This record gives sequence, structure tokens and C-alpha cells, in this order.
Amino acid sequence: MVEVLRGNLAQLSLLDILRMLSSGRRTGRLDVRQGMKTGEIYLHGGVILHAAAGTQIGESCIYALMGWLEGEFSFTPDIPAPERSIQTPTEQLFLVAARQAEQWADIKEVLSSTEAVFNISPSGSTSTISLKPIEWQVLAQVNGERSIQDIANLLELGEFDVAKIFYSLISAGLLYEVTGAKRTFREIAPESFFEHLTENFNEVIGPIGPVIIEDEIKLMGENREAFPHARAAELVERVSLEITDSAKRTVFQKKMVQVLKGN
Amino acid sequence: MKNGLMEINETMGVWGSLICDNQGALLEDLTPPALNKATLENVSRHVLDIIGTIGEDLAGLHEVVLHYKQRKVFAVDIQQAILIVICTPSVDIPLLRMSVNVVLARWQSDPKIQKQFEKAFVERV
Repeated sequence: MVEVLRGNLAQLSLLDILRMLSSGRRTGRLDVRQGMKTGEIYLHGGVILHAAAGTQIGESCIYALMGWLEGEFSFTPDIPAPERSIQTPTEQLFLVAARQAEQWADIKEVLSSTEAVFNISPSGSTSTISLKPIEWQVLAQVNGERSIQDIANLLELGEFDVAKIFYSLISAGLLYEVTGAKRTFREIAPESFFEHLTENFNEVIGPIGPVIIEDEIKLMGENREAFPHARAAELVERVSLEITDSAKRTVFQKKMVQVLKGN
Repeated sequence: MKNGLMEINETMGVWGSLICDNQGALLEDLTPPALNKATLENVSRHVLDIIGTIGEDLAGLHEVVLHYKQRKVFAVDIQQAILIVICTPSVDIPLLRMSVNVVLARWQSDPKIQKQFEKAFVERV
């Protein structure tokens, strides 16, 4: 299978990619992947015709996929849609998605990632709170082990909708984040990796190095304390793109490749 | 050139690597014996077809990653030739890309290797 356009959703949002493909009147399939989850969106002449991800299909699926802040995408041209599940004009889809993106920006102020795990606050809220049935369903699944993504999958709801509910539950003081409960299952990059990264990067870029590294970690939706080892090379590559001098960039990459390969 | 391929092959998940000219003929390879010359040249020509077809549409296409169920093929267009890396699906692409960058930068400043590329240079079909 051939990919002509590929990248990471942390660098380019799904809305931006779709806008680009739509304005270019492209035909083909856009695949998105986040861990084990996958989704696909079909365009014909720039018009979005069909979207599917897990059990979701159609317009609601598009909005759910737009809520993925992390993951990979690839566009394969000239693949026709197997069916048409979206009748809404593409421009209208973009308007709704843009509003959703604005809300995501607010949610991200409170939620570090949709992989974050929460538990019910023992102290509860100081005021009377009324919950909608859907909010109660979400709250009932919070157990200090399930992430927001897990709960969205369990209830077969969009990640965005569940994150929005988490946002209001957290704001009401009903939930608190369980640090590292989920992330202990994945291998964390050792501190020595960050020491090498900072030292080598500072050598090339100067004292602003640590700030750039922190920014990139944040853009990847991660944090330094629980940074997954599997994404270490990706971080190095992203950081290295900040080095404009290609010779210096290669020297930096060479040093870091040795670190990553354990030489 | 072989040293460079060896360095690339040290990346976890890499199965083998090769260099082919602009018409798919094998210039150098460091691949497992299971892959014979004919197979490698078929892979090379397939990659060249893709670069030729898509490259027209996307000016400056430099890198191609082909995903198969059992393998990933990572190819870089270095103008005088094509570098192809055959990997397992779990290969860390950013790490591989940086390893390749490092080798290509060294080749670029090595007159001996540049001469080899010049000698082997053929126009693309």
C-alpha cells in the first residue's frame, strides 16, 4: 500500500488535514491511528463522503476522530468510498469541527491527555450538583484505573464528548487525577536520556534548549516524568528539526542515535 | 558504502538495506540470504515506480514508507540512487530516519562514495 501523505496529529490537526485535502479536491482514504484504535475517512473530489472507526460511522464518527489529539495519519489517493454515510456538506462539517476544536482548547487546560486516569474525589463537591444521565454514566465508570479513552470506548461514546463531561466533573471538584496509575504499564524513558538530550541539544541551540524540549513534549501530549520510551526517538527527531543548520543537525542526530541505540 | 548499510542495519527492527540505481539495478546490499538479487531488484523497481508516479504529483517527494502486513519498506530518494531499508512492522521510524540521515550526510561529504554514485548514475525511466 502506498502512502503519499503521512504525519502526526500532534503536529497537524485532523481538521487542518481535511481542510487541505478538501481544498485540493482530493479523492482517497485518510487513515488515522491512535494506538490500537483506527479510523478512516473517505473523500471524493474534496467532499467527505464516509467515515468509520470501530462501531462508529458517519458524521458523529468524524467529530469523534477530530477529537484525537495524538496519533498518526496517512492519506492514500484514489481509493473510493465503500459507501456514503455522510450527507452533510463538508463546509458545514468543518464549521462544527472548528467549534469543537475551540472547546478542546479549553478542555486541554484541565486534562493533560485523554490517556489520563481519574478517581472520584473523597471530599466531593462543596455545593449541590445535578448530573445529567450521561454524566452519571461516565462518573460511574471512573475507578482510578480507566483512562478517559477507556471510558469512551466502554460507553461507545466519542472521546470529545467524554472529555467534555470530565471537564465539567473536574471543574465541579468531583474528580482528581491519579498520577501514573495507567502509565506504569508502559516503559518510561530514563532520566539519563533526557540528560543526554538536553546536553547535546544545548550544545547546538544554546540555553533555550530545555524550553524547546519541554514545548515539544507538551505538543506530543506527554509529560517528562512519564515520557514513554517508545516515543523517545520521535522526540529527538522533532527537537532536531529546530536546528536550522543541517550539518549541526546531523551531528546532533548522530549523537542521539548512539544514545538511543545504547552505544 | 557497505559500512553505511551496516550502520543502518544496526537499528532495531531493520532486516536489511540496499542501494539501487535509478532504474532499479542493485548497486550494494546488505540483506539476509533469503532475499535474492531478483527479489531485491523487484522491490527497487516497485519503489521507483511509486516515486515516479507520486513524485510528479507531490514535488520533492523524498521519503516513502510502504506498509505491509509482515514488513515495512522505508525508501529515501537520494537523486543519484535510491536507498531502501526493509524492516519489521515494529521498527521505530523516527530512529531509522535519523540513522539514515546520519549515513547519507557522511556519504554526501565522501568524494569516494560520490564518485561511485556518479559512475553508476543513470537517468530515471
